[in-house]
Amino acid sequence: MGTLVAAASLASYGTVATLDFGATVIFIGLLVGMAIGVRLRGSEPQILVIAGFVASSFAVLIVVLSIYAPVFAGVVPGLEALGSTDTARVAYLFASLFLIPINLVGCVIGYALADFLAPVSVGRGRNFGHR
Amino acid sequence: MNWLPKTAAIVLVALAVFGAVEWSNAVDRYIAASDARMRIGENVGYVNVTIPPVTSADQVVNIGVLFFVRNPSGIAVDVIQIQYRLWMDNLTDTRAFALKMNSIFVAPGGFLPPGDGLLIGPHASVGIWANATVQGATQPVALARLNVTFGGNYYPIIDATLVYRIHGTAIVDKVLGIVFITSTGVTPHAA
Repeated sequence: MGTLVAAASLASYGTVATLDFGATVIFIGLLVGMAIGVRLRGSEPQILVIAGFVASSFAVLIVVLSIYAPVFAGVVPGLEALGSTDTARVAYLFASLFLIPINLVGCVIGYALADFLAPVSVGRGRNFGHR
Repeated sequence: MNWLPKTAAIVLVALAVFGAVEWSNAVDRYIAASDARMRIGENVGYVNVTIPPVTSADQVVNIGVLFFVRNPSGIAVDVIQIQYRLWMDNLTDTRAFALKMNSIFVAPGGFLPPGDGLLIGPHASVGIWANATVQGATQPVALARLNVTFGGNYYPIIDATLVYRIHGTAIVDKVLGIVFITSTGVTPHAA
């Protein structure tokens, strides 16, 4: 998730597939969240939320590291040395923060979808009144 | 219902693999392009300036300026154009250059390759001739300004700009203020 969003933020550098940044944040965030939700169907909801939060936070960290990669590599003293276009790229950092809520929504959707599609015999639904 | 978690796992793995390929490629090019943009200004300069002797008032004078451009980075660059302005210094005019530049300006010159530009590979160097022309028949003032020698030598001043693109990207940048000033002069001879 983080690698794809980072690649989308660097689309002007001629990546293999040109990705739209906004669409990548929304759809990849939802898709990965849903996959995590499906995978964690048997877990408690708080585990799901923590997993989604950790995954999306890690993705944001990858975006930060990627955008500042030339600085960490020591080839530029700061992004401002590359001009306004690359300074504006810092805005992608803030936009990538939307990954966190979108990913959490995806997690919940995936969790609910897996629960909805599960047969009753393997614990479909959660009837807390009988516990 | 076993298919849904398996499908989710496959989606996660596929996204991870695709993302890793995209990310490594993008970041690699991003770092190399940043390196090129930071260092190419130190790797552009002059090799030679050729100005033929002026022998008649209607002479067509072809001025040649040979630039060298070295690509110091690990990503190719395309030279889109080189532009320069040529002045011929009048050593008897002791005013600062900014004050006399209008009265000693000769002609603009440049290099404009066809298509997407002149490709310079990673860590490669090229020499580029960028020419300027003064037609004595139609530009007598420019020819008179050009034909100023001291001790048999020309003293040209050149200020050039290089415009380049990081190859395969939409990143276009330029190097300003590539200045040629000589203290020993340039011997008149044709290119």
